[in-house]
Amino acid sequence: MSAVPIPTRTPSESLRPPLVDGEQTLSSITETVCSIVERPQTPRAWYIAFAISSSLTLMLFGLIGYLIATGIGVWGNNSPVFWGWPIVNFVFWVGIGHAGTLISAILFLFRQQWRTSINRFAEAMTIFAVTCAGIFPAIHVGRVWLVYWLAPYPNQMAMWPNFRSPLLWDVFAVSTYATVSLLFWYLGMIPDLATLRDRATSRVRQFAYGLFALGWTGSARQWHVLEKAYLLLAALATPLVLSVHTIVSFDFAVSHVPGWHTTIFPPYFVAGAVFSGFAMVVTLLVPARHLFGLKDLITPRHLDVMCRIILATSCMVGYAYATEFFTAWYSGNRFEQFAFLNRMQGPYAWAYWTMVTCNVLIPQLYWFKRFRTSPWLMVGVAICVNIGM
Amino acid sequence: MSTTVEPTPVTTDEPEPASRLFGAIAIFESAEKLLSAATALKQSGLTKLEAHTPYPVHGIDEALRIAPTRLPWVVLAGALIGAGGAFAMQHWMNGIDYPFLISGKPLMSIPSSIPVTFEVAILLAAFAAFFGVLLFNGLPRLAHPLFRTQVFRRVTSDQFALVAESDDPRFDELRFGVITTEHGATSVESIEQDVSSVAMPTLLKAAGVSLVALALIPPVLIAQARATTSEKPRIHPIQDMDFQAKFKAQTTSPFFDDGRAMRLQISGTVARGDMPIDPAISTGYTSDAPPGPESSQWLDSIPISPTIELMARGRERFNIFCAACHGRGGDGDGIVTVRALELQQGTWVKPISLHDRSVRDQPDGRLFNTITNGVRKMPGYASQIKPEDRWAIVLYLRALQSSRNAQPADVPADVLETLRETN
Amino acid sequence: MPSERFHFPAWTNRLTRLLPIIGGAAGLYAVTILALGASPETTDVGYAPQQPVPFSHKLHAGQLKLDCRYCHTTVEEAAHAAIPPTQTCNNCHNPADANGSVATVSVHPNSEKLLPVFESQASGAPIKWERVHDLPDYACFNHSAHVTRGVSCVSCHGRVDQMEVVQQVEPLSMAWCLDCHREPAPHLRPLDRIAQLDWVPEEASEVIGARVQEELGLNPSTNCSTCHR
Repeated sequence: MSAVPIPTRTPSESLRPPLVDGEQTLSSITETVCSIVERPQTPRAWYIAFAISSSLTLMLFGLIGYLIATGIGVWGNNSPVFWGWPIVNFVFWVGIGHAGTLISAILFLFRQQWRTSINRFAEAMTIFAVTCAGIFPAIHVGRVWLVYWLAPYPNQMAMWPNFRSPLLWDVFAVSTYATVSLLFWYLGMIPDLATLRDRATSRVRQFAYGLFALGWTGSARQWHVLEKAYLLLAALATPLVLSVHTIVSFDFAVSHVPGWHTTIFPPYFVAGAVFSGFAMVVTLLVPARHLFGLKDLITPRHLDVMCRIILATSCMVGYAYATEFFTAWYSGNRFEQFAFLNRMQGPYAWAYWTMVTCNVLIPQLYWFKRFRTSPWLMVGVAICVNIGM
Repeated sequence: MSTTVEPTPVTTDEPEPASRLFGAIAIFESAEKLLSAATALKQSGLTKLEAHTPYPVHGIDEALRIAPTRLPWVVLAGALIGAGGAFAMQHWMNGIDYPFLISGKPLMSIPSSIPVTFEVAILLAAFAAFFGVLLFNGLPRLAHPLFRTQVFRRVTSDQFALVAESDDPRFDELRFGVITTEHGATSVESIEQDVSSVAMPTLLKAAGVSLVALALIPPVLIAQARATTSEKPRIHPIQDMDFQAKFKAQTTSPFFDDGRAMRLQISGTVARGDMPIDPAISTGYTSDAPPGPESSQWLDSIPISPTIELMARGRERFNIFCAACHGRGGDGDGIVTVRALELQQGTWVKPISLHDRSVRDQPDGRLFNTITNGVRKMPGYASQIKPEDRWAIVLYLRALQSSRNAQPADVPADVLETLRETN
Repeated sequence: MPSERFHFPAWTNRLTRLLPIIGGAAGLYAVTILALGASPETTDVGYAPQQPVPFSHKLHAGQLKLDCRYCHTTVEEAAHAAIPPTQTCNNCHNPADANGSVATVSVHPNSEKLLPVFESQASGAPIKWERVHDLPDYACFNHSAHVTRGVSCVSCHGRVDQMEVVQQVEPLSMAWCLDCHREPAPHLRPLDRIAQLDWVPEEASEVIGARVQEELGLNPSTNCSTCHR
């Protein structure tokens, strides 16, 4: 093992806590990260976790089957609530996905070096979250087998989709987002797969990693093109991530439903997405770094920075909640006012106050350093945010 | 296998049958040593020189004189094609090909087309970036000679390599070894290229050929389905609401004993649109039952206003219903009659000419009754022809008869004058 | 070199270089097969079910020149073009009784092919004809609206007067409906030629159609609710 210094520490950084703890070399970091996937035996805990999650997934498939066989009425969808439950789930998952892209793209453009410890993790979370999100628009149409009607293809009906509808914008936004996230994730991963390929000891791994590494040799020319492509993709993903949740908010804002028909929705949704996404990253990351022994690579400083982002976006979301009420009051529109008063005092008051407590009040605990440094307190707050969203 | 640490002189003219020389690789422990060696080798005139590193090394582009990539232009082209294509697509689809007004929204509007235009631009730009990487980097290239060297395996983790290719005219393995060792290379060795497995395996070729052969089956099936008729039901994989749980005209229903979804009219009831008219109009006679042939109870004239439209209608209906047997001229020589007689059907009777005096002298009401209920061996047409149309046929029949038997007195004087002049 | 280590053989490079071509060809192939295979021309056109009676339109409508409306009497007034009752068959086909005499004129009174007709006449139970042209139940089609506005039988049903067994010749797809609704003129004809399947226009069909459209003031709608209500 050669002792090569880590190239990620620059002079200006030295005043802050380091991004990696302990005496690290290139090979030791590679060793730490790769050893997780190179374990000769899968731990029993993994099997247990996998059994639990796959059982739940099977239950999801079963319930989706029931839904498709019965109809979307099982969600309680009816006039005028045409897609209450599915859209709530859809927006929740898309929002969570945003944190991954934000970390990998926006922080990359802003040259925030702390992102490198968590970006791949967050990107993977994005892809899974977008996959979850994508389920709901697909199954909410009721007749899933006709979901391809959303695509503009020449057909025997001579029909085209209505491009003036935000629901169609949403289709384009979410599918573009899922595709670009996948490309971004995979493109960044190619050199890492090559590392795993060259370290692999079993023929199956040599084949599989070799296939997915596409024959990466790490040549200067390859790196040159890859870096440029990565930068460009980051530059493309940044406006994309903002546009996606803006368009998701249009699903609501463009409708004429009191309480939804407001111009504050796009920024409010984007802030909410970043907020919930970071909370989810923290929720997943703290146990993961604990279980997989990544504490030296994902340091308290990373967690601290993420808590600060959650705190900031929580304040934005809180501000948006307040502005909605102000707008309703100031508009003098009785229906608008009723929608908000009903939200606060009506049958769903419990949900509303849970949301305010979890999203606005509890995250304020992050003002205290103790909550930003103790991993488990941090996760507690983050889980509250997950619930609130 | 060639894991010698010392540079080995190579005889280029007699390669092993299974492999030939690809080049030489030098391994370094640090990026700085790699950079200085690369600079030195480049100055020595090597053109096919490549550095392999576990992470992008700052300054290597200058050392190897790598020109800036044209990838950004490809990405820009992708974005422009995406934006232009999406914009044109939306306006063509919603504004030109199927203009469709929804909620009074304008057919073509720039604001509403922004989101999709933007998304597709990003999508195609991202594809351009991704596939640009593959194209410019020559990926995927799963079999690279480097992968067969032992030393390369650390290069994707923590070591650095310089590779010179043997087809460079200035390539000299000995010199390469000397220069790289001077700059701190820990090991230098030659790279063999495997040439034994270049040919595609026969099995793969066979699989490809059989796949192409199998791929010909669907087009043949489609062509057959298009060229022939089929008694089998139409293919409707997605039926959804094609067949709804409702009963349409002339379908069956398990609910009633007779299996008819449509119910027969119950006696004593009146169907919509069948409000009873004057019995004389619907029967052609004024008595309760059809009177005798010479009775005075037959209506003498058509009880509805004889307009030119009614005449045209009568002609049309006559040609539809009567001409088949009676012939268009009413002579009893309709195509069906001719055919039946050709077939020597004893059960067929040639109809009497409608110009026969016995028919001409019948009152209108009696002709009407004949159409309604038939006469002798002629069936009735009440179920096929409505009463108004039957009267129209009677009117046309009268005109048809007049065309052969009219007297000058039947024609108005001024028309008679014109007729005489033209004939 | 340890032989256990897996290496991709050199021919994989040739294979991956071919990938764009293979992928492109496969994509093109899939799209073509799907487009051709799923089109109504393949799945629907050519449907010619066996009927309970071997009734020949070629004979009756072609050779004997019976007008379509002789049997399908409701077509000008109702949405549904009625399949004729057995009674209509009886106009020309009556069974002979034991003495060989018939109630009204009759052709082929002893035909075996006509047995189902005679049975139906005796029992009063309708003949179960197989429906050839069937639109989806969510499409509301009205025969009278078309027949009285210059759309001939032949436009949708083809040359039935040349068919021994009636078959579907048009796709009856929504795009096919819309073709005519968007640009009706080439498909219109004078009302007195509606049921004349072998009519050959004296002038260009567009010119005649345009005149009919003008006379009848036709402006077909392409709104959803025109057909889906």
